Amino acid sequence: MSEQNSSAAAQDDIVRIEHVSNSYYENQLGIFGKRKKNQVLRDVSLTIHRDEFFGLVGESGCGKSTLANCILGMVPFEGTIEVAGMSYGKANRKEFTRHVQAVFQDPLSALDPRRRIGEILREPLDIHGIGTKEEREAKVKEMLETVGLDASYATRFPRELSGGQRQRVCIGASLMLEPELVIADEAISALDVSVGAQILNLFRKIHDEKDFAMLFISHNLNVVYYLCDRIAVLYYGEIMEQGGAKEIYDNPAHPYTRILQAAIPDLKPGKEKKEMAFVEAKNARPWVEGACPFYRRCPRALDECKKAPPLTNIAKEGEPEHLVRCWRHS
Amino acid sequence: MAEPLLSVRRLSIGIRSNKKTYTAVDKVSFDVYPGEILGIVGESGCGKSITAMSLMGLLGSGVSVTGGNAFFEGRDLLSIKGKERLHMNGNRISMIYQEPMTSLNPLMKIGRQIGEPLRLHTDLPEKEIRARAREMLDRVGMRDGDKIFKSYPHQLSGGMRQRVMIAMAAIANPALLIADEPTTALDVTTQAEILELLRKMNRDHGTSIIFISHDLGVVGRICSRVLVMYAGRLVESGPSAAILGDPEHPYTEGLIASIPEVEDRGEDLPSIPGRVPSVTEEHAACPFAPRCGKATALCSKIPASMRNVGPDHFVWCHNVHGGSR
Repeated sequence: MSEQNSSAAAQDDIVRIEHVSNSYYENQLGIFGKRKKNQVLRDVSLTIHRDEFFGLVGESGCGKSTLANCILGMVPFEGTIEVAGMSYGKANRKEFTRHVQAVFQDPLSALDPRRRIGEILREPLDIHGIGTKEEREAKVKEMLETVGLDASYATRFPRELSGGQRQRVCIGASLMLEPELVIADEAISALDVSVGAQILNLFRKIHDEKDFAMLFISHNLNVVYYLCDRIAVLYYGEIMEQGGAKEIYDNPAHPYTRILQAAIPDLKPGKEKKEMAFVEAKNARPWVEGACPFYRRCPRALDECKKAPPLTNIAKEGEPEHLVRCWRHS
Repeated sequence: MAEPLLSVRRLSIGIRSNKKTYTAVDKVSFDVYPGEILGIVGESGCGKSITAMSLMGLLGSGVSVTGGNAFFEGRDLLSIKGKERLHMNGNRISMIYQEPMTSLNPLMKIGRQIGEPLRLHTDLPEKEIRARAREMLDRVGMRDGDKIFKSYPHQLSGGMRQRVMIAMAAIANPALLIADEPTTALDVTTQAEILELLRKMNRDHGTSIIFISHDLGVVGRICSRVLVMYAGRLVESGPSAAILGDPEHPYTEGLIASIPEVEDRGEDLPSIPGRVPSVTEEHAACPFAPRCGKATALCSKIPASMRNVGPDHFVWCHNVHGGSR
């Protein structure tokens, strides 16, 4: 019985990330300078289920974009990443891209300035040889409609569009091959608030119509809480907390998640937020080799935090997984 | 109420492009009172940054003030030039910018850089200037002040650079500090620290602050009064609790509603249709009319006058009823 369950779960996983680490070398100054190793991701493991919105949050430099680039096969890494049962490799690059597509932060630099919108949307179909010429044209028209642009946009150039419209084109292009996973890396961060809300609504609308999972990467916790089913909080290349979005919002367990949550500017007056506690605590402690990555900034650190804590499931029996990397919860 | 520190009246700014002049800021009037933090919010292209730049006399080529005044300490900030301007900037009015890296001199050590305003504006001996610069580093909450004093900007993180910018802006004890999106490039936790620092400066030294941001949440956290701008015009102004809690203008309402919150999960966000108009487009009498759900024929013909809808709370909209002034 349990075996059946686990195989059913494996089928529901569209992305399996296991023990992924990534590092790069930085040259120090001078000809005798040593090469310094910088670890970006430290043993990250997570799975994304079919058809869900998975949010990845963290501050700049925590490795969230690096993880996305690892999935896309754009940077080398140790460990295994499987998307729809496939690992990225030189030989199956083309096949692999049919399963994974991405939407980036700046839509203008993501679009070829010398191509018309229609050509940009048709390109993935041309490359993969899908359909006849007429079918491709029909698909482009259909996609323009899906992302909320009318057919006349097919003959325009990216520079003639506004930021929000360009992002709509990027989203359309990413969906042309009907991938199982779309990675949205800070996809609404560069947009105005009112336009960003339109794009969020668009994601929700398309998700209702089509089947795909999304890895939504953002530094904005509010957006992730709003949009995603499950989230992971990344700090210094390690997952600090992972679980259902609503659950983490209501019961954040890791001190770092709590600090992030307290730091979000809130529109609702009356919600008292304690900012000073962590302002004072920041880098209050000296670095200890092998300590919990958050040890230096943690306002609630204990003595045992000088050893790295394991990722523990704190959910009650029968409830969805809620993982926390903190000694206070293990 | 006390005498305003800065009084901007009917400020208009034009951008010249292709032999035409486009209006980027249209007859904007507001006051900044001593010791207050005034927020200016709006989306890109609404004219909030250019308004600040005009007060500092830093408008680029092709951009010029086409009308209005800005009285500050008995002078009109929009017309002073040369020595008078030099006396003003960095001394009586300072500005901090969004990207601290590009506004610091990469070849000058932090300690020397922070002391620059005093070197320019006072006759203090170099030793005294250095001592004050060192003291400023403590005041902006930098640990390891001695080490940072001798560092170069590239050795610091974004949050630390922004602290250096604030130290430099505050060293001459200006009466007015203009902060243009000072936390937009920073992480949320660093942002909370910088906001706390600005609040402390305001509290301890009575510095008035104009805080420009596109983020209503941030503005609500730090500002006592808020101006909302859209396409170069003021659409609403008032105490921040009133603006965020009980907005009157359809644009402000829409802007607040489009901020995602966990309570909205599973529902579409009530977003504003359309997009922010660019400066080069012709506006209707009310620039928001094409995107507004409540717009009537009147909105595209006659600009709305200012209506008073609450204590110190003003709205420029035909469909809001309140006493005209």
